[in-house]
Amino acid sequence: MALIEIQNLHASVDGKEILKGVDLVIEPGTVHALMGPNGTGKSTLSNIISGRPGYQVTEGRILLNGEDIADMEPDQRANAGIFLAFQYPVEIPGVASSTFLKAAINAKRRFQGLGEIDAMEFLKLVKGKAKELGIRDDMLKRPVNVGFSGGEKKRADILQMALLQPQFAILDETDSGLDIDALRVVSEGVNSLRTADRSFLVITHYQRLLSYIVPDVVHVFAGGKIVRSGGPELAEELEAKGYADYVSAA
Amino acid sequence: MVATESTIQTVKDIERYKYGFETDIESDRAPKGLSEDIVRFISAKKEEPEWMLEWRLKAYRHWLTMEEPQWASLHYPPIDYQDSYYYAAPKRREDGPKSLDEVDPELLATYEKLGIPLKEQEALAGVAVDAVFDSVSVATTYKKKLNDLGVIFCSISEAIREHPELVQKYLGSVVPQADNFFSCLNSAVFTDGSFVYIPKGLRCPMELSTYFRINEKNTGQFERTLIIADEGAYVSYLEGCTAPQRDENQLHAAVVELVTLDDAEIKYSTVQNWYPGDENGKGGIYNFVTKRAACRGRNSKVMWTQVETGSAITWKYPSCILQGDGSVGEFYSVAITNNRQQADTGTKMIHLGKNTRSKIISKGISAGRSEQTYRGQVRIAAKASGARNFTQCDSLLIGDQCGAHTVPYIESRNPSARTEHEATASRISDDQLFYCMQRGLSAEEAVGLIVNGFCKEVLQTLPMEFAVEAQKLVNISLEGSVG
Amino acid sequence: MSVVLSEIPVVTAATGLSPVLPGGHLPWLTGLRQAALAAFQQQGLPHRRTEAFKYSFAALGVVGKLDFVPALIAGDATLEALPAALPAFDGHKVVLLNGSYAPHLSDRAALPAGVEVQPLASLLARQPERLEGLLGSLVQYDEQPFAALASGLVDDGVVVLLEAGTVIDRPLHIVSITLTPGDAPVMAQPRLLIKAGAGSTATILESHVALGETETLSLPVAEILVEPNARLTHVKVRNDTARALHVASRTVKVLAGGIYQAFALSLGGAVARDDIAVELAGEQAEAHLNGAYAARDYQHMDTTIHMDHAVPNGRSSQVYKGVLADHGRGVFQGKVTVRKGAQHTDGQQLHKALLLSESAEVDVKPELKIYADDVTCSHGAACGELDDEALFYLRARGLDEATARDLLIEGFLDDVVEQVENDAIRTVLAGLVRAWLDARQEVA
Repeated sequence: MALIEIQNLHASVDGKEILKGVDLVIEPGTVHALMGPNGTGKSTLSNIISGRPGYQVTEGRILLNGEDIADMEPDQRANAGIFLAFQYPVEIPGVASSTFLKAAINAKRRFQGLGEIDAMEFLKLVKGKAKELGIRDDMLKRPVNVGFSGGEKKRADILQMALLQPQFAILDETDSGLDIDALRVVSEGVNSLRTADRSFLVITHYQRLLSYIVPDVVHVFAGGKIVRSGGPELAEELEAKGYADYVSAA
Repeated sequence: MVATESTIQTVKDIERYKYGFETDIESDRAPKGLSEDIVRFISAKKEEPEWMLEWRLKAYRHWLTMEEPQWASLHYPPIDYQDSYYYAAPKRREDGPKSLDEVDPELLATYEKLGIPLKEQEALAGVAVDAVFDSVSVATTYKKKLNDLGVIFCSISEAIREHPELVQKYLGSVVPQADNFFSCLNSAVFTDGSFVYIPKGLRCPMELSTYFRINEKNTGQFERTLIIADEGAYVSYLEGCTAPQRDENQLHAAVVELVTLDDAEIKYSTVQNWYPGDENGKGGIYNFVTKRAACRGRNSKVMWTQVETGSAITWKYPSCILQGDGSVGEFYSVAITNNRQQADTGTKMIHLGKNTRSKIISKGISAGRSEQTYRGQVRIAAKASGARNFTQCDSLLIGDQCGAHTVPYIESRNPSARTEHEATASRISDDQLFYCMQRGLSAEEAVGLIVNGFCKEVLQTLPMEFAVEAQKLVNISLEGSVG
Repeated sequence: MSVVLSEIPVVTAATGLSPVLPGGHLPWLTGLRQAALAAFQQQGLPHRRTEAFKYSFAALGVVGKLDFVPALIAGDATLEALPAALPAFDGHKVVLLNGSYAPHLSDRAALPAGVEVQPLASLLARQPERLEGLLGSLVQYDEQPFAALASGLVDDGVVVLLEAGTVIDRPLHIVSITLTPGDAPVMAQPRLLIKAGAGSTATILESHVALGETETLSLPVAEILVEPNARLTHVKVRNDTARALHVASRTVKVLAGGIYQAFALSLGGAVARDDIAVELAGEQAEAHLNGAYAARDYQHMDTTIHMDHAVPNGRSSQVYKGVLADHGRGVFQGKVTVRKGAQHTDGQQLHKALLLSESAEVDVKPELKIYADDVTCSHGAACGELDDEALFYLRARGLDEATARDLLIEGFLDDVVEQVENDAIRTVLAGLVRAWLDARQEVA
């Protein structure tokens, strides 16, 4: 069974149709790249999958492990295994990153019928993962994303992914605003999380990221739907030719 | 939107009153109503000296000429001052309890339910507790240990009898009897409260704490607290308040006076959780409190921290008169109002001395159909050269039926003084809420976390014992200890 | 403490005047005047408990002590030419002398089509029906005793009617001069009524100047209606002589998509109060109120603003800056209200004051009253002296202290003057600020 199956998805914001019939099947253990020009609805798709309020699905459906997720709240989707790495992670003043991580881990454990994580165990777990991602301990004490650089925000997001161990992760333009070093760290973090049953949807405008996170399938997204799919070579073709053909076609 | 609804529900949960139980102890009450006879009765019950009775009578006579203030943004039916009991004491043994063993076990059980660290194990926490139950002080723990250090920590009644020279010198010196309607009433009928004197140069090694609880029906509670930190002294004082659920409104009009001499410091923390009334605004405490500190000495400091979640009506402005050169006043406040609660609270920082500094951090959270006002005054007198004030007032609105108001008065008469004031009003951002929920937190948890973050600057100023209770009140878990 | 009303000469005079005022035969106008006078009688002059005048009631106490005579009784003031104190300004011009239209000083010849600028008294005489329901429809008397008093005596002023879609090429200059004809202190109540029709665009410069060595009391009342998608820029300059009292009241209503952009420069006089109430009554309406004031000697300047967001999606901002020298006293009270249901409101406010002397004082009361949750509102207030570091920087570059201080003060005020879009008006304002600084130097 496919991990994610999107069937003829139409969606709008304030009455304006953004998604115009998206079809996408993602098998367990695969990495899909979604590429396309800006303003065509790529972020809308990621927001709808993760259940952000403010979008109206007018037609079609999204299945997670064969189950329609339409009625699920954002936190239910998260606990069911959907993770969104944000394009612009929001700042939450006053809430220490470690407090936030603990709350998220405990929410997941509760969902799994487990008790709260032991303080020492949590400490060990977080420090270990943070070290792997090159995140300094003092960042964990700072409020969530407050005063973080662009790279730090993205790394913090990947740390959350590593701790929450989602089934399906969406990286929404994670590469935007990253210098080459940060890009490498983030990519390595993602690659280390690739397993036989975990899948990724990597949304990006540039081919650059895909030379670090090599996708199994590449989709071209334009005019509110997927207009072409292919292997990794498609990304290189896009890099060379640009999106002009697709923009005019859509 | 679902998220908004659950936000509102969360606030309801936060505010669900946990302390609505009542202790059945036969009490010793004065007749209902207020008159010179009642004032005399209270004074007699307290075995007070003649000067104290005269002081009370003077206040009472002046109070008769005063009118209840109307300027606050508060709406409530007229209070019938004759329809309340002004003295209610739990019946006790002839000589009063001398130690915890003699305190009525049911009372102790009440305190236990309240989570008050009254028992022996709390010695570890280093807290000395004076518990005021309705109108009288029940027991002061660790009296001996404090005595040895020269600290006086006792009920105000005892202080009037045992330390008249200190009481006469300082009582009413910060909040004069005629200061306002409620302080004047309090001066006439106060029944108990705490007295603290920290001798020169002593840094009080334990936190001192008083719990106030209104138990009797139709009882007004009028406690009076007086704290004096002599030169170079330091004390951290904690005050907690609860009351049982009742349909009728109960009056609470306290006066707190703080005095700091040269280089002295008082840290005064309050978690006020009087019964707020039900969701329709029935019942709840009317809380009219005058709290004021006089920083008389050079480089003295007073820090007020308050977490106000209870009461139907709150009228409270803990203030600092910064007389001594270089003295410092700080005010940290979290106020949460829900349902039909109304709070008009804030502070006054009166800069009189040179190089005086003040800081005001106020976080207001309004939900339900509640109304909340921050009202503050910063006054820089002409002689207060080099004075500094920084004020930050933030309001968070939850739901579209509540109100959040900010009314600061800034008066500056010295060119070398600098004042800065910032205020904001907003709701929890959808982006923050979604971010948290995308990481698996329920809307309730997300709101709790975000509100906690919003209040953090204030909550972190609380002593640990109180921080825990306060954070519980704001529905949050303790900050992680990572790092 | 409070003044016995019957003892206030102006009121005694006012009660008897009503029938002889312009339009005295019109029942609606008589009703309006009587209601206004009644509101004044009922409130009396501001006193200690009048919250809206908390910081100015004492300074205005002189109104109750002096024998102010309404201009109508005091007799005609004469003036051959516009005074030098007035900003020289090339534009369409209407001049009021003690509140009454002065044709010989005005120039309305080149007004474009669709723009009507009429003296109030003549319109009341010729076509009163055009003013019924408009005049007096916006002004509020609650805690506004002076607006009530002025409305009770309303006789003349300027009516500006912009037809839908009209665009005025050059700014319209409305000048109000207060001048005592004899020795007795005179009182005038110049009225301003502006209706900016849907989609119209106009810039209005309103100048006030008091002349002479006797006390004058000017009580301007302005009612301004900004219709849908209209864009009105309104600059007010007040530059009074030492004994002038000026208590102005302005009520503005902005309808959907309308933009009201105001600036005020306040200089001179004894006591001045600017009361501005703006209601954003239609969605997507905007109001931006900026201003600068500079007080010296014993001058007292009060700006009191109420920004009322009545409906969703409104935007408002306020930036005011004040400089207080000598015994000068500044007052800024700015209230932003967001009414229930007025979601997506953006309301911002900032007040900054510079205190230049040991005897100067500033009192600030910014206020938020919020009844909707999805809003972004804030206010900020800062008071202090000139920045030592900036001062040192300038002196290190060779400027003497007085010049350096002047430069910084000028920069402080110009920062907000810069907000005025019209080049000609901005130049006038900057010139007045410069002149104020120069005059101060001479005194020093």
